[in-house]
Amino acid sequence: MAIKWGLNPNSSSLGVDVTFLLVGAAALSVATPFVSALVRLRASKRASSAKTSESSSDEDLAQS
Amino acid sequence: MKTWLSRKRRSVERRLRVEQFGAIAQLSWPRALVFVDRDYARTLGIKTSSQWSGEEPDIGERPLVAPLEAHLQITNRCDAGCQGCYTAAAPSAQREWPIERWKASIDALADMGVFHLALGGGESADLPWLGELVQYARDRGLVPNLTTSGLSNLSRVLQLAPLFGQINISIDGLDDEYARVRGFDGFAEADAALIELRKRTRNVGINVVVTRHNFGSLGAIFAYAKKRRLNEVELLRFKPAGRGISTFADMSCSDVQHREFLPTVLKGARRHRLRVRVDCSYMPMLVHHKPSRELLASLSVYGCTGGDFLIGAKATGQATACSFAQPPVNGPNVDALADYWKEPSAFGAFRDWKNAEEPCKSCDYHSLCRGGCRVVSRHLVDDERKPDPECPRVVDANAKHKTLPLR
Repeated sequence: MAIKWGLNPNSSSLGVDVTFLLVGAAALSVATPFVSALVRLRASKRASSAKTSESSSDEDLAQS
Repeated sequence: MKTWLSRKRRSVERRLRVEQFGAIAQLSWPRALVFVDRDYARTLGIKTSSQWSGEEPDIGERPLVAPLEAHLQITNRCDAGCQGCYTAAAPSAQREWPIERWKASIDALADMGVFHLALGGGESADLPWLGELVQYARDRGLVPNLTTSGLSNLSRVLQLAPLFGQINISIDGLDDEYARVRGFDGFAEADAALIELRKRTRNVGINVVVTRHNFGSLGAIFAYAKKRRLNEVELLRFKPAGRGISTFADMSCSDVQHREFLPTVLKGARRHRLRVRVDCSYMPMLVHHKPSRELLASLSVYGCTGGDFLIGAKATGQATACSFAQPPVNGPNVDALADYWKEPSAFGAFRDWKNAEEPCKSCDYHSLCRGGCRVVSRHLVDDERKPDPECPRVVDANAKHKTLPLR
């Protein structure tokens, strides 16, 4: 899993958050399970709200 | 009815996009794009995908199925006249696209699966239809973000502030230094705009173009950002594009400053407890200090991802690999990007980064850095396929072979 944090307002480059280089891998190892849990939670909410669908295709999910 | 429809569509925000390596999930809190492999993507409910027919590549190994973000130069009109403006924006501009073409572009980008828009110029705040376009982007599930000088039509920006994910004001120096970098005295006005904007939204930051003249003041700029309670500072390398071509030699940082860049930034971020972002062209200066490759990869920190993670569009609609790059030969307009995107030769040197020469070829970080800034290479050695001449590793290699003088 890789996480790209934040939003880039700059119309001239892809902003990269270097603040995590300060706190290092230890902090990221704490943040990653949290983010992972959030992603799964959102996915399960989507699934329950769209449970009438027989199966989820990537196109379905991409728009949900 | 129209309002209800608008709200209904706004809630249909893109959350998940299938990629060859797996998928990308978008979180609105915390604001992040999360890259997961195929196994993980299956646990999110994606049973299968046509994108998964071949071998599973690593993230970044192949171009994404669509950009993560599109940088739209929706106007090239601006009264500021900054001496280093990379778009050479001017008070009068011609052949600019009307809002209808930008709406069609947003439709095309939404259909491709783009997550974010970065709107810039020129001065986008001067466009009377900016609000309509931003709302349209929201309605199509894209998150619009804005860069502005803060010097023009502030009332419009204030009114639209809640619609943007992030707004940054360009401030390249404090007080007199602003004038030294930008060529005119606009600090007081930009500062006042920042204060007003911060009252409306917490998602406000500043863009700082780092030059050899303001490098020594980065600490003071960080302190200023903290004082103004900004949520980020984004540092941009000076690029030889637009009016920046003629001023590049005088404005770009020295080799010593480039080598000191990361320690300086991290020291300032730590001291002021500030979030700092840097642009992709700074990757050679980051990896010069040998950070963990695994950490960089897990943060999705890459160098030049023009024509891959991001694309640009000129005010005339031509798609570009990034905002500084020239449109590719026979390249499309941004509202017809999808077919071109799939072409193996799309965006030329930008996507052909694996075909590198030394000293990039043997660099441990090459798969992340991708050779540095193509635009700087094109300017300094007239070949965008060459390694970034301002990369410390390249500087050292060139000094060894005495091919380029150290600045």
